[in-house]
Amino acid sequence: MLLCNGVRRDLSDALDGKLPAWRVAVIRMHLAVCAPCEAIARSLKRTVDLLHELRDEPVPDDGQGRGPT
Amino acid sequence: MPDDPPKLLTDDEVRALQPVMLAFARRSVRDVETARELVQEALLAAVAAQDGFAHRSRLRTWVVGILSHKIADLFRRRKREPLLPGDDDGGPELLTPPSQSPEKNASRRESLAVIERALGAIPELERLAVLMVDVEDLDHAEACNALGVKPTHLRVLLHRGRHRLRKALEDAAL
Repeated sequence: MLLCNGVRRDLSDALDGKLPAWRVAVIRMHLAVCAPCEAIARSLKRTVDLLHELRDEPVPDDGQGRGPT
Repeated sequence: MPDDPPKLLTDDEVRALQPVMLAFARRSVRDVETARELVQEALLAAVAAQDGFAHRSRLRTWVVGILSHKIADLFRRRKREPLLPGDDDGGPELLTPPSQSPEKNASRRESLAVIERALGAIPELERLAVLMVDVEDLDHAEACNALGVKPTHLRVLLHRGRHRLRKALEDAAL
């Protein structure tokens, strides 16, 4: 579980290419054998991909009303 | 008779940049009037500083950096959250991952709508970091400069913000 926590903590940095190669290799090996961490990594990548798509999307009309103020 | 020096920010450039900047500001501050004010402030600052534009980055990136700086200043003035990362966040490691990825079943449009809503609910600095790096594609150095934070702090903001959004996508698909 400690290994899972460490891997999940590093996933964001890994997506940004901010980790040394040896650490990326360790994460890859872990994801190959840990389905929960692999699912989180996949959904995090999907989240970042969606954020990229927002770049050219108009802001919804209710954009000013999101969330509590 | 000498010509006027060439202007980087022509009227056409400003017209083209305004919608981009307004979208960024609205996603950041959630209030249209405040967003408009910030865009105007940033455009004035950009015009005043255009001689310093180094052409190492794209014009859009440069003005979004200036706008981000204005937004970060606003957040600091509001003092809604400390500049240094706190430890009040349970973190993604506390999440129980589903047995299969649910967001893959949601349509792209629905997923984008969830992301839009969730962006409005995450802490301001996390939102701004995500908008700069993931939406506007600023590099970490540019984002750190605009936010006035160190690289390690930016990485924490990105980690937390991205995982909150990821969790929102998971929750929406339940």
